[in-house]
Amino acid sequence: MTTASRRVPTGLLAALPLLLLWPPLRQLLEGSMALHMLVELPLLLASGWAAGAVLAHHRLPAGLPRCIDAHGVLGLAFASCVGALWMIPSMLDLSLLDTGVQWVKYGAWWLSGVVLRASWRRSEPEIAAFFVGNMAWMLATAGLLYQDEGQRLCVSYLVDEQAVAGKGLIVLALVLAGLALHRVVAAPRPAAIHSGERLTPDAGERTSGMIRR
Amino acid sequence: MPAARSSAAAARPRALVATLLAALALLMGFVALVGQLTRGFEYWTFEALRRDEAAGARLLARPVELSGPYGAAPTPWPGSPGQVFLVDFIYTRCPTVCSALGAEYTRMQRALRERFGTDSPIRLVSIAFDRAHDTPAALRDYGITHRQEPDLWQIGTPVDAAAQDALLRSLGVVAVPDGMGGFVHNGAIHLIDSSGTVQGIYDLERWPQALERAMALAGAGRS
Repeated sequence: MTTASRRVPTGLLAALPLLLLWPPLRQLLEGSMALHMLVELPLLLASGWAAGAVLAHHRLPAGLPRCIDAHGVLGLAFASCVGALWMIPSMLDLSLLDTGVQWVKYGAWWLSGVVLRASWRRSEPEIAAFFVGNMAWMLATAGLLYQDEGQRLCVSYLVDEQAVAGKGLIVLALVLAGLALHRVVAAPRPAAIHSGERLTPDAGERTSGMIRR
Repeated sequence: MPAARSSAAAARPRALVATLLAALALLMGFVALVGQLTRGFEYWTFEALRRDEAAGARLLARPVELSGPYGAAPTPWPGSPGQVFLVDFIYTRCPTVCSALGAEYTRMQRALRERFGTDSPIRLVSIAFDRAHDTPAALRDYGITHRQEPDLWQIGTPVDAAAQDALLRSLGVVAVPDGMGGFVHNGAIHLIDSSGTVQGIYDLERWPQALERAMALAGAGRS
C-alpha cells in the first residue's frame, strides 16, 4: 500500500466521530453497554490517533509540547485519566442523559487519541508498559465489578448487558496486558540498533550519543 | 556539535521536571473532578446521585398535563402549601413491580382515607409512561384492579411525548426496554411537596416510611 493510499483510510478514521451526528448510529452504539464501552469509546480513541497522524503529516501540532511531555508521561497520564473517568457508571449514564456531557465524552476520547499517538511514540517501553498495565488492571477491576454486580449500576442499561460489558472489559484488559508485555519484549535493545536507525525522535536523540560512543 | 549537544542535554532534565509537575497537576485535577462528580467519592452511580439530590431537596418535578381515564388534568404540583404527593411511575402491562406498586398504593389509599377522610393533604399519583399501550381504557382497568378512588389517587399519562420527556428528565427517571415488551425503570416512590420539590425517593418495600414522611411533611405544612 502506498503512502497516499494509506492516508485515505487514516483520514476517514480521523473523521469517524462525525458519523455520531447521525442519531440512529449513536443510538445503536450507545443502546448497548458493551457497544458503548468496547466499541464506541475505543473507536473514538482510534479516530483521535488517526487524526494525530493526519495532523503530523501536515506538520500541524499533533500532541502535547515536548517540553511538558518528556518520555510521553503527560500524554499517557491524560489518556489514563480519560479512560478512568468513563469507567465510572454515573458518567456513562450522564453521557446519555446530558447533551453537554455527551459531547465532552466524544471530545475527551478523541483528543486523548491525538495526544496518545505522540506520547506513545515518545515513551520508552517500560513507561508505556507501566501506563498500559495500569489501564489493564483498572479495566479488569471494573469488568469484574460490572460482571458480578447483581444491581444495575447504570439506569440506562439492563443487568444482563452490564454482565456482558464486564466480560468484555476483562477481555480488553487481557489484550492491553498483552500489548504492554509486547511493547517491553519487542523493544529493540541498544545493541541491536544499527547506526543511523531512529526508532522515535526521542529514542534517536537518546541513543545517538551511545552509538557514537 | 558539542555546544548543541550540551544544551539539549541541559534541556532534558528541565523538560522532565516540567512533565512531572504537569502530570502531578493533571492527577490532582482529575482527583478533584472525580471528587466533585461523585460528591466526595460517595456516590458512583446516577441513581445514587439522584437520591442524594432528592434528599437535599435539589430535584424539581416539572408540572405537566396528565391524560387519565376520566379526562386530562394537570399534575397536582404546584399546589397549596401543606399538600404532599406520593408519585410513582408505572406501565399498565407490567406484570411485576407496577402491580406490586399498585397494591401498595391501594393500602396507602386506605390508610389516607382512614386518617383524613375526604380532606387528605396527601395525594397519590401514578404516572404511566408506556404511551403506546397506556390508553385511557388501560388506565381505567388498572384503576379498577387497584380500587383507585380518583379524589385520592390520580392516574394518568403525560399528554404528549415532549411533556413526558420533560417530566422524566426533570426527575432522572429512565425507562429501558427489557427486550420482552416491557420496561425496566428506576421509578421508586417519589415524595413531592406542593412546590414540586422532591423530598425523598423510597423503594417499593419502604412505602410505610414514605407515607410516614409524607404525613410528617403534611402535618408540618398544616400547623
